Amino acid sequence: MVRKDLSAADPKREAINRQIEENLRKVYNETVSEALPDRFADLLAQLKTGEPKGNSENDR
Amino acid sequence: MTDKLNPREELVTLIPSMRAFARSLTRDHSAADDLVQDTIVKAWTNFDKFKEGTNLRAWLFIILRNTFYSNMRKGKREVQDVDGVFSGKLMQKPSQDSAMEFNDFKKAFSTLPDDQREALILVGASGFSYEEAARICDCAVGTMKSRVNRGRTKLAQIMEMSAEEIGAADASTLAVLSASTLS
Repeated sequence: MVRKDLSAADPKREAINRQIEENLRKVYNETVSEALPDRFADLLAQLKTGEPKGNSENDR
Repeated sequence: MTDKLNPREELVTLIPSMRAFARSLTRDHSAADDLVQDTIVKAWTNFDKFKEGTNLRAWLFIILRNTFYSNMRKGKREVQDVDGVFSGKLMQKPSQDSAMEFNDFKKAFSTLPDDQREALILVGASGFSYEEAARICDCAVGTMKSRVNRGRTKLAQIMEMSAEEIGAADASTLAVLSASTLS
């Protein structure tokens, strides 16, 4: 079996690393740039006008 | 610097990044939004515990992460990529090679263990330092670094493998073709 050189010095590996970084940012930004669902505006409005769902007992 | 946002106002601006982090943990759109909603409610009622001047995004991510793991322990909503957030099942035919590669990447990413996924998203995508990410995940900086490295290595292996598979498939097709011409 051929051993894969996974060291960063390998130019092929470097290219793959760069691609990984790019893709990770893309995965993240895909969600970040989405329009927020209405449920969050509703939730915030509810939170701003007083405590929702009964009294907000601290859980700790 | 102009007026500083108060934490409650700042929280609103951080919902998109909370959703992105939540999705990397849950791998499910609606579970992610439920998790963000729980996080917002918890944060809102615990703002007295937030130290002003510290990183609000990190504080929110800690709450989000703790909520996720405690829900998981309670067996609440454990989903295995049901709506294909990362495996890209929702995508129809990708129009280009790059879209195809990106879907393969998301699929590979979804197979990583939870701790490696969150490490890669925190350090690789949301721009936290190793130190901040380690604080968010309540682990040593060295542990965070090794999770990131293991995750990257695994992804690189999967990516190299799929490139090789294509190469190997071509090679075996050629072998079959040349063998048949020989006989």
